[in-house]
Order: sequence, then C-alpha cells, then structure tokens
Amino acid sequence: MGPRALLAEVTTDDQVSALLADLVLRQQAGALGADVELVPAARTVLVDGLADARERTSLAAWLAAWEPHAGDTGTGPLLEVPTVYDGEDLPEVAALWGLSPADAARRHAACEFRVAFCGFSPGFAYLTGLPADLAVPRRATPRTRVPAGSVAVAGAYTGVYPSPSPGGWQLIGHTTLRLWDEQRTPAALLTPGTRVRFVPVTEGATGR
Amino acid sequence: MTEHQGGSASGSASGSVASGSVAPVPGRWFVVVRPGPLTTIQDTGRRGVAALGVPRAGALDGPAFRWANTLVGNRDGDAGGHAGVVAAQAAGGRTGDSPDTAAGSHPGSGAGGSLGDSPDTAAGGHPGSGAGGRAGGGRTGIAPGAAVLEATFGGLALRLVGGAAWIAVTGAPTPVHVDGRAVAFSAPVRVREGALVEIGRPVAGVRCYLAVDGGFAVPRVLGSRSTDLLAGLGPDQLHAGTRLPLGPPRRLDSLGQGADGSPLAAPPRELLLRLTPGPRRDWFEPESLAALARTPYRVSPASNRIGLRLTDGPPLRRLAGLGELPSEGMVLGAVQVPPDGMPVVFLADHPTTGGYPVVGVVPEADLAAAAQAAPGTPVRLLPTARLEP
Repeated sequence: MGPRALLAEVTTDDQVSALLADLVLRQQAGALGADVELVPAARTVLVDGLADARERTSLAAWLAAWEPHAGDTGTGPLLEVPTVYDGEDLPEVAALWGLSPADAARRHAACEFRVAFCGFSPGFAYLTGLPADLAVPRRATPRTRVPAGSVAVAGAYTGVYPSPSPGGWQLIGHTTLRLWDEQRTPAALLTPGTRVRFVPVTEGATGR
Repeated sequence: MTEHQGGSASGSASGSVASGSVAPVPGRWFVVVRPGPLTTIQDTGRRGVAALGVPRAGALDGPAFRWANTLVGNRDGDAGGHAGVVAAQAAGGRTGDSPDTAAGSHPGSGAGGSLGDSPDTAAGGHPGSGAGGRAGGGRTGIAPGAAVLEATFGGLALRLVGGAAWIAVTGAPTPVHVDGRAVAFSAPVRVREGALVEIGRPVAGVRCYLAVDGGFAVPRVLGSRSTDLLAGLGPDQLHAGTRLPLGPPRRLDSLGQGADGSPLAAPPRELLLRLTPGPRRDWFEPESLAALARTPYRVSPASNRIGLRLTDGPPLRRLAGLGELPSEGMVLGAVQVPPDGMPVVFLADHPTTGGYPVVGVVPEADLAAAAQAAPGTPVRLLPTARLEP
C-alpha cells in the first residue's frame, strides 16, 4: 500500500490478533521503527510509516514467511463494562435470536469479547466474541444521532459508541463508563487486544 | 543555535498536562475579527494513535507549513505537535530533537524565550535570508513544527493583542495587509501590538498558512494542536471572537534559521499525481484501470481536508461478484474508490479504516500540490507501475 506501508491480509479475526501480537513484539525488539503504526482491521493489519525501502523489503519477507497460529486471545487485560440492557433495538435483536429481551441480555452478557480493532471514530472498538449464529443486520435506516455510551451490535460485532454520532448499529443497552476521553491518559479504554465483559446492572448503578 | 527552552523536564505524554500550559502570562494572542470560510489550527498532526481510530490531521501543504514556521524562527519544540505521543524515531541520525522535548515548551517557562522581544531592532539582516542548517534533519515527512493557521480560501482578519509579533503567510499566494497597508507574502513581517492583520482571497491555489513567532499555543489533544474536522478533535474552526494564545516570542536571531525545504513554486494549473498501484487494483475491471491511467479528471468542489475528490473522468468499475470489502487500514494518499467509481485521494483528516477498495496510493510528496489544487483543476494520475493485472 504505497511506498511507506504494507497491508497484510489473513483469513480470520484470530489470525489478525496473532499477527498484530507478533508485529508488536517485532517492533519492541527494534526490527520495526518505533513510530511505525500498526492498524488492525477485520482481516488485515496495516503497517504504516516504514522508514525506507529496506525496512519495507525486510518486513515483506517476514510477512511472507509468517505462519498463521492460534493467537493469545485469553491474556489481554480484562475490562468490565457495567451495562443497562435497555436499548431501543433490544426487542428486535432478541426476536432475531429467538429469545425474550431479558434472555437476550443474559446471552450477550455471558460472552467474553475482545477488541479486534478500532475505527469509524476515535475510540470506537469492534468487539468480537458474539457467536456467528447471533450475527444481526444493521438497521435499515441509520439513526442520525446515537448517544455516547450506547452498547450496540451489528454483524457479529459489538461496539460501544464513544461519542455521540450517527449510527446504524442495533442498540441493545448503554453504559455510563467513559470508554473514550481525549483528555485522559489513556484516552481509550478499548484498545486492540483488550478483553471485555458486559456486566448487567440496573439503571443508576452504571457509574464508577 | 540552541533551543531556547532550557532543560525541558522529561516530556509528559499527557495531553491534559500540556493543556494546562495554555495562555502564557503575560501573553500575546490574536483575536479573530473575521474567520474566513474555513480556518483551522494545524501542526504536524497526531501520530501513534491510528490504531485507536484517531486520524492524523496536520497541515495539508507540508512545505508551506514548514516554510511559514521557518520564516518566523519557529523550530522543533515550539508550540507544536508530538507531545510525547510518539517515541523518538529509533533509526536514523536524528539526535537532539526528540519530539518529547516539545512538552517542555510551557509557554512562559522558557526564561530565554521571553528575552529579545525588542521590536524594530531587526535592522539590516533580512530575517528570511538565513540559509540555515536543515533543522528537519533530512526527513521527508512533515518535520515537527509550531502550530499555524491554515486558511482555506483566505478571507481572514485577526487583531494582535498583548505584544508585537513576527508573522509570515505562505502557501497559496494571497494579498496580506497590516493596518490597511500591503505587506510581503512569504516573508517575515513585524506586526505591532494592536494591529489588524488581514489575509485576502488567494489569487491562485486554495490554502494559505499564517505562522507567528512562538506558534499558536492552544491546548494539545493527543499530542497535537491540530483541528480534526472528521474526528472532532482539537480546537474548533475559527469563529469571530475566538482568542488564540501565542507561545513565547522568538529571539530575532532565530528568524529564518533552520530552513528545511522550500514551498511550492506555484499552485498547480494541472495536478500530476503519481500512483503506486495496489493493494486492491484487482477489484476493478482492467479496461477501467487502463482508462484511469490515460484520462484526466478534475478536482471536485466537494474536496476537503479528508480527501481530494475527483470528478469529470472515467468511473472505475468494480468487477462483479466480489461482494463487500471488510474495513481495512487506510494511509495518507490512498486512492479510495466508492461505488460511484470516482476516486478520492485521502488527505490528512482521512479515516483510519475504510471499506472501499484502494486502487493505489499517491506518495506524500505529491500531496502538497493536491492541497493547493482549486476545484476544476485538471488532475492526472500517473501509475508508477502497470495498473492492469
């Protein structure tokens, strides 16, 4: 992808995690420049900001020899997100799952999630962990404004809107945990590799 | 030439810490009288945060940005970006200008920096004439630099308060007036306290840059003072009445030092953009790839800081049956092709991921001209290798 980047493509989100972890180790070992950016996505890892053709060539060779392997999906930090399962689309999502809204909430909260990648807006994390058979379509008509903290599903991804924005995902609940605060260090709580559990709470108990 | 900040404490990486150091006291600031159609604050942008979905932002015309800072004596460590979000570049012979030192530029804390602000003593020595020692260390990207104003189509008026200043306006050639008198473009200009600085409409090109000695000292967000219109980060675009704090004045003897590149000779009459094919050229019909390489487009008026939109050229048709592309990481200069087939060249505010296929990438060196190509300008994409599979 251009003279200063490479886009590595794999076939599953677990392989994205494994490749990203290996690239981070490679960077920590000094084989990749410290200001090279690693940007994971659904089936790719972008390596951007390569210093020169030599670094690019050496990385391309390393990537060509990279063997897919099971990533360490269970070792990232665990973040608990207190969640009120009261989203406007919960009844519709529950119907798609063939469950009552209360059971759909329990089903979702029983999963362990993992931040696969971020995109769309600062701090917006795509979480994997929902079984493939629970994938749901986006809303036919996106909302023009989704409040910050909305917990939502689309496809097999779960996400939490970090700031108010338009959005087409199905809203199943909300949290008052501030997952994104540009004035805080770290700004994002949901960084690639973070494990996440949504902990059902009742209204008024989601604060920290 | 040593940095005017003394021993900057170990750079804090926190944007919130940096934001505590706004508004030097006593300080200088500009008050916005007329904001122009779209004026934002820009520096070198945000690095190391793309994986969080944070775009890079930063000045679109890098050479003009650096030149403006050079003319007013700003160098690494002035009110600029990179407050320790990125580590110092590991490789390469760049020593002594770790971006981390930028965190030491608490306006007002550098005792030396506030000296030498005796206006009108610049007798002789044209400040812009210093050949300088390439402060950029030979890097090809945007070197760390102080925050400036990026004015799209000019139209800006500012009043200087709290002290005198050096300013320089670069980029798109634009008439500049101080208190109603025409002053030089692309040269350091001394402005007295209370003066009205007016930037007209560019006679050619799109974006001009106003730098001031000491830089614009608005709070950093994620290591940069840049406005990001896509992500909604950093300061808002300028409005009438906005007060813009300035960093500590520079010493006169630093003006024009450290020149590390010269700006574009002139905005392009025809924009030529090299195109490195891939990674998704195989998503397109070979005939439309061939047409892309031989037929000009024009710059669409819908272009903005996110992307240069091309129009009035051959649509790039996707091969049938490939479905949708899962979102993937995007780079500066990526030429993304939405379903209507009209290419978009990603500029500094581009999203970090995208779901439309990228047919090729325009090298960063060609993007300054893209930033100055007015709507309607003919555009040619010049593949650096065969596009068709």
